[in-house]
Amino acid sequence: MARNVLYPLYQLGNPQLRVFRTNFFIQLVRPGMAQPEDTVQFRIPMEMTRVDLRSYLERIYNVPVAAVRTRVQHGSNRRRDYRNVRIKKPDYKVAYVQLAHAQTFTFPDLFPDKKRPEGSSATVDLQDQVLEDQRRRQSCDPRRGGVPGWFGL
Amino acid sequence: MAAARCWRFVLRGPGLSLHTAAEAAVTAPEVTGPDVAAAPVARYPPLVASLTADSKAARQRRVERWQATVHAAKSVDEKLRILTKMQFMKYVVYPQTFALNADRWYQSFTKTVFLSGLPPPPPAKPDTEPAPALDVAALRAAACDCLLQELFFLRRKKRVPLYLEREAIASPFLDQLVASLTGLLSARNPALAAAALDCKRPVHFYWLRGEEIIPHGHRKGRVDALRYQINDKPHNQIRISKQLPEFVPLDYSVPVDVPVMNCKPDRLPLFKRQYENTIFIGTKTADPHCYGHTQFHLLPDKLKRERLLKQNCADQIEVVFRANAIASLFAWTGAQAMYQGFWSEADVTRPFVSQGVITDGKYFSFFCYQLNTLALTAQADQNNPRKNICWGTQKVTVIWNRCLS
Repeated sequence: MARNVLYPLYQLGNPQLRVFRTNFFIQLVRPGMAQPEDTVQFRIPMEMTRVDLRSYLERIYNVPVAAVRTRVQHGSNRRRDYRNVRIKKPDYKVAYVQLAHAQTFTFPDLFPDKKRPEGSSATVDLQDQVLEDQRRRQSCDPRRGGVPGWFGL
Repeated sequence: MAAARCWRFVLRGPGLSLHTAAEAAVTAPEVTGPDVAAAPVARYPPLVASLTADSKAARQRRVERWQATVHAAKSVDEKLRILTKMQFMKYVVYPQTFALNADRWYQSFTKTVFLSGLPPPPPAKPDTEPAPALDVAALRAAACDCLLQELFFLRRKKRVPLYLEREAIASPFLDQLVASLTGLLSARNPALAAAALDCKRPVHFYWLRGEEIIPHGHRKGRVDALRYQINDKPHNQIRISKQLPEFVPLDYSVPVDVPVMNCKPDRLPLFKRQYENTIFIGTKTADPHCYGHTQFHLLPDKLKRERLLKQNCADQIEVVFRANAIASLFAWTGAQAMYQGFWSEADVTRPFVSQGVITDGKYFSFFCYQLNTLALTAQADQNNPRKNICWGTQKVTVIWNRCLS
């Protein structure tokens, strides 16, 4: 419901605990291994449970959730710095959310290859020209057939 | 003396190991003058791949030697023992699962095609007399009696907890229903009169399907088969001694495709474990009632309708029934086929047919399964056009109101 906060103790008869402005922030990540089409992968705070994530997505983002599975990923503690002191990468919790009503989701391509149009900017052309000139200057004798220069036979 | 001279001559040859030398000495022809020309004896031993080398040809030869031992096994028990004695990590498939879209996954694991509706009825034989009319009223009366007994008449001392409520009433009701209906219908079907009725007997099946590249460990990068095991416990099952007739011919080509999943089974979620590989239909191989007739399954309270609706899984209610039917009936028919001596390299020559009824206490779904092929391993499935077929109906409410009125 919120992180780094002391939840009030529940006693029989108390009303249900409600949190209106939650402290949790989640990240949608691209899956490393191939997932089914209806599965979305999130990195969530360690204190958040699968029940919390379900109500988070349903109430705040109106996303119907069918199933949630979570696991904790251990961050490496193996690397050592110049003083042989271990460097810890923080642990994080990963949640796999399966969407309801046969909805699908694919992580979008955030950095697509830009197709360069004909009338392009001058700087890009200059860069290309300079690189081409350099390559032509350093080009080897075609009669050597790709043999490196230091080979003396 | 002659043998010793032969040994020394053969060993002096370059690059010959002890094994090939021994073979050569054994197969070296005894020179007996004019008889040599008559019998064309091989002068050199056959050229085969090594048995112990770290090469694909050597592995292929070892696999073929193992398959030859299975083919040469004298009894079915011995054959099953050779097929299941090596234990490796395998996926444990649960027929009654909460996993989403489990029926499509299970279809891909078992090479099954799902067709809605019931299979085509068999062609009516003109010479036999028409069967006597079905006494629906008597069957309905028996069903109502069983239902009333469990719901109304029986007083239970122990209060059952909420999460077992439905199962505690439905389970004895299903037992009584199956027993009474089997008895009433055995007049029309003499096979049912001699049938064996099991209650909660385990059914196990172990099979290999597909391959993967091992991601971690000392065998990283090598190709390994995917192994699956089903350990099922149907609520009731009826076994007969004569096989049920087929619904469609063995090589019937279904226009529907088997669904192909493009990620590993771990994403279902499905987990691996290593334990005993068992193949079991409910009794041991010596039992004459080795063919299946019908299985009855009761879904647990964990998969009941209200719970699935609360979790936004309204479309998964049908999926639960279908996945249970496909997995359980495939395991049962596959185990029946293996009890007859068929396996992935010796595919079935006749289709194995079974039926299933799956209920959650209120809704009943009827399924029919025909096993056309056991050849699901990567090697055997290369040129195998046959698919297993599962027919299923939508869920049907048994008319409670009319029974109770």
